[in-house]
Amino acid sequence: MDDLYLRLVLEGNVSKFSYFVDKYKGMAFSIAFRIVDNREDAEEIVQDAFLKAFRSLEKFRKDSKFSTWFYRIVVNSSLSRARSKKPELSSIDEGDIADVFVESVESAYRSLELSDQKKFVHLALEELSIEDRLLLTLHYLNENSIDEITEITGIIQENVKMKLYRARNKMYRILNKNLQLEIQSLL
Amino acid sequence: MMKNSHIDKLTKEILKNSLLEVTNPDFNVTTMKKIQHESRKQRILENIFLCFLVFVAVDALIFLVLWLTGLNIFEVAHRLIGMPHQILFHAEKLKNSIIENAFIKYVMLSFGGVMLLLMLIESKLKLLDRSK
Repeated sequence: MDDLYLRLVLEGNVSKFSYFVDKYKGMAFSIAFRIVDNREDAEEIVQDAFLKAFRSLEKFRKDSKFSTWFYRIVVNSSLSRARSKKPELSSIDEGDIADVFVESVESAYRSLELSDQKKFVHLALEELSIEDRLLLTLHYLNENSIDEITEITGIIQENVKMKLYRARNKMYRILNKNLQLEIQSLL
Repeated sequence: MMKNSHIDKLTKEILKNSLLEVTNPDFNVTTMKKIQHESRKQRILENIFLCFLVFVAVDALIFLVLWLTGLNIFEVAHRLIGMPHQILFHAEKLKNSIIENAFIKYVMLSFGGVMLLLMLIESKLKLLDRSK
């Protein structure tokens, strides 16, 4: 479907570009927001990314999916904006997570209402570094493969796997800490 | 030992709740306006380039015609030096051109070139509009 609309836009039917705006704005916004941590900035970045994609549409070689190519533009734009704004957050202990962590997170998380679940996920992601957030979003939310993440972020394949593993562990540690605090406050 | 695939599945489930929506209702309209503006800018740039090419081609054609008909509007340029001479040279050149009809030929050829240019731009824009 992307190919069809791509051809129409390249033939001069500019209004058909709205298909890409509609289809990719949500995910692009999530990615940008996870990097810049500000709604207005993220929206602006996504708009600019669409504009950049439109300008270089003729250079898109179809070696990869349109989404991969487009998300790379979003990530690069977001990273350059984030670099000029604030330093990376401090890292959390990177050791392996014990099964008990995952089990307690799972049971505590499932006992929450949807709105609280969302709140805790957003809080946990906020405590992670930009790179960790980005990798988790791409892999677990957008379901990008390791190869695609390599293409989008420019991080080499082996490092993506390792960083993803560490990011996931960090997220569970934070979730566990926050959920335990919540449980204690309720008791 | 908990399976990695289970942790992956749970992580996916947890992170599904991190999906964010663009809340600005005008987002699509604003983005498409920017895209349309960019497209128009690109078309104008393309047309300017086309104009330049046609201008060069028409001028080359004019000089070819002038050369073929034996009319050289620059023939005395090397003999005159200084501003007054330059002005006189141009005035004389213009007079000669009119008398020898070179100027009229030039105007007619330029007019033809501009008409050709307009037709090209118009047909290109019509093609673009039709494909919308």
